Amino acid sequence: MLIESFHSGHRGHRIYCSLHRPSTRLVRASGIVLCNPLGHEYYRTHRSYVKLAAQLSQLGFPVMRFDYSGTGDSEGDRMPERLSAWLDEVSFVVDLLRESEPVSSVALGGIRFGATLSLLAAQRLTGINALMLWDPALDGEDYMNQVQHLQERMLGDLERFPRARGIADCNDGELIGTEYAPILLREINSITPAGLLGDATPDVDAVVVTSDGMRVAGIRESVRRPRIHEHRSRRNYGWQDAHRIGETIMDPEAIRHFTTSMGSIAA
Amino acid sequence: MKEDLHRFGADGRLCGIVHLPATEVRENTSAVIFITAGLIHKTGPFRLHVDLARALAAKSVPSLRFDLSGIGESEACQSGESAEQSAITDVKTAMDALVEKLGVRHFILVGLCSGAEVAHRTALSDARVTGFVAMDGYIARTRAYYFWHYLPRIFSAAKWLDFLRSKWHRVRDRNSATAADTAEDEALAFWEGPGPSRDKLAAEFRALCDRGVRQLQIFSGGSGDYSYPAQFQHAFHDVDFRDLLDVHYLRNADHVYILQSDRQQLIQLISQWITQRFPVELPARPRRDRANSNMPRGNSTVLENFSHTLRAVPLSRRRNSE
Repeated sequence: MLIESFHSGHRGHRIYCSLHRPSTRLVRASGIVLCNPLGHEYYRTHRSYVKLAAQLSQLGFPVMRFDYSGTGDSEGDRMPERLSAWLDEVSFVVDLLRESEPVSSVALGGIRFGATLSLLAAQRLTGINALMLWDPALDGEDYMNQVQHLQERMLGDLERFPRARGIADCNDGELIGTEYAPILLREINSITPAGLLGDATPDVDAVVVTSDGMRVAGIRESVRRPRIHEHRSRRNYGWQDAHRIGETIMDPEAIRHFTTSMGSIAA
Repeated sequence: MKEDLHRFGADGRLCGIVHLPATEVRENTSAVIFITAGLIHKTGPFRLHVDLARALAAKSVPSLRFDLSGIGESEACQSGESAEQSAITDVKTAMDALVEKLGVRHFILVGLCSGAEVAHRTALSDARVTGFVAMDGYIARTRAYYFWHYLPRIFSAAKWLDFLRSKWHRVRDRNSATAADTAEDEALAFWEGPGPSRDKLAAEFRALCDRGVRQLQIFSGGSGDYSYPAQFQHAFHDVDFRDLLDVHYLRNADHVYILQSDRQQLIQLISQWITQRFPVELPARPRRDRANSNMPRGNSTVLENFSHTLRAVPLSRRRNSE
């Protein structure tokens, strides 16, 4: 069995983890932890995470995916209320990977807010050797504004609902079917590109994919990493398109870029 | 309540999570199996399966939610079966696993969209299935369907604008895809294709009724194939469902119940239906008197301003009402 799924206890909740063991004789000394995005983007990207993890493990990387408490298959009914709690869980899973596999360094990566959390976690952890950033949300306020606007368009989407719905139909803090605590929204809003890409982030290689239509302002200029491996996808994933909220994202070219770049970084 | 990760099937190729109630699971308890929809993994859309499994466990009903072959943490099917046949085989394997793990003998299947179709097909071919919940499952279009579907669209500028916008997006996305992407897309679109004819479905529903299989058919306003509350009864007017069918039309909800309030009402509806149609016998508690049941009967509205409920009515009455 190449995917080993299990629950592991962390601060009162059991976190659901899936370890993709290397399927090659060559086992690399670098492991990879993939951080999920939030809310509806989790469902859109789950299949891409599984594919990406599977293909990286075929190159000899041990790869760990996991669900934050209160999300996916993990225990709990609500998402963590503080960014620090999310980052604690990333740190916990990095430790789990280090305990179970003989790795000397770990790369962090994710899509959208998963990439944001990877950058934030990299500032707190030691032994991070690379970052994998797929359409990263670098400006928290801009990101939440986009989600807010998407929610408004979604509520009025007459292909989705026979009659337009309103904010009165949503629970407090609900954005596109997921509830955000007020304090979490404030913390996300305070994330800035300078804070994410500044001195606190380790000088490591970064593999970046940006899709068609995405503006990742200044990532090349801001990143002071030794090497940046950038790929611009021709695909438009429709992050801000209300008609495509339920659409699974699958971009084989982007996944190929991540795997070949990571293979060359860890060579 | 307890949630256990469970690997089953040959070499543990299928992955799921068993939700166990705090009370003992008895042999005559019906266990619920959730079937994934399309490419969504075992959490269900917006955690629908997780929340529903927890709600059922709180009412002493055990359940399993798992990834079909090639989805989530389950390995892809290598047998060469069609996607649909492979899914049916997976559900039967899941039933075998629960028989072994819990000792139960009867099952209720729950599925949305393609998951509903798999539930229907599995129920036809496996006598252990005593009931199923189909959300936006099989339906046939009636003449009244076209009237109620197109009438509001013809006079709505917003609907026309939405229609044109979606056409434009499809053209743009087709142009931006590469050959490799298109091959992947084709692999993802395995569920698309024409469904069974109305007559075939009617014959299948008759076979299910002959076996006494209970059904909860739920249609959302987001289903493009359902447009008025009595459509199911009208479409299958020649099937005598006796008291085995409940139909709900949640006209304000979308196809995946994206809003929490819609999802909560759906969870309440399904868990209530399961616990009342398949009561769990607990040693310490007396059985619930059917007369005190909260389950809606007849042509009542189950959730005010939200959905319409229709129970199967005798053939003569149905014909009169059409």
